[in-house]
Amino acid sequence: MKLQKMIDMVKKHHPELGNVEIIEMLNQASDEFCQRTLILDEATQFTTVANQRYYGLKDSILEIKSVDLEDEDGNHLTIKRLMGRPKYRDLDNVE
Amino acid sequence: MSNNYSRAYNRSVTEHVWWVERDSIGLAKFDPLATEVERFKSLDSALTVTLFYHKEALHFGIDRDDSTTSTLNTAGLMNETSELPTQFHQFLVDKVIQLGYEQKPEMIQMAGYFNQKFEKGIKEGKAFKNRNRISGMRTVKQHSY
Repeated sequence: MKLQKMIDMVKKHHPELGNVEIIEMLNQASDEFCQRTLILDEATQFTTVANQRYYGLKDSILEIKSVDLEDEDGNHLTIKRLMGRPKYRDLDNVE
Repeated sequence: MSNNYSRAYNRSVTEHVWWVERDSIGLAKFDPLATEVERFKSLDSALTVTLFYHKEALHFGIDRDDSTTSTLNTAGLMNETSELPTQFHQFLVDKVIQLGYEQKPEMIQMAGYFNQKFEKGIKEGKAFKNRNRISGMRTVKQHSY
């Protein structure tokens, strides 16, 4: 359904609302729907920087399911999740 | 006898690990035999990392991951469609209608009706997710509806 049609359907009930206000509410509804259903999955790749420990996550990421890391042979292996965090932090190159 | 648990309980294997901290992902090499200070070492070379994750749909008119564009982009906006599967688009409209009625005290009871419709959409969305686009035998997962 195109955005124009969604706005038209809302305006049948609320003709006083402006387009921008409706779009903001649609975005709010979309966020709630995605957060509660976890319906959308995605994968993305990035390359590590030598001796950098932390890499910022996009705001749109809700939950990381798994992480694969390329090994010396170029194979991609799933790596384990650490419970908690290391006691000693490496704060070099923190983003 | 070998079993699937042997690796999990092997305390002498050096391996890579990840964790989440302060909206960032941390990556390190874990050496269980090293001293506590040296136990986690940052990766010393450029390696490709693949993240698999659940995400929010892109916002209409806003590139949410680009902090330089925080206002609505109007070009071609009205022809945009949600990233959600099409059968769930109506539920977004229902939610907005609910929010609109919540601003009108004289028609507040209508908000409850449209909230019920949206909640039905949430249930259907979770069911769609759990089906995993596969028919036939399914894995039953615990879920709070």
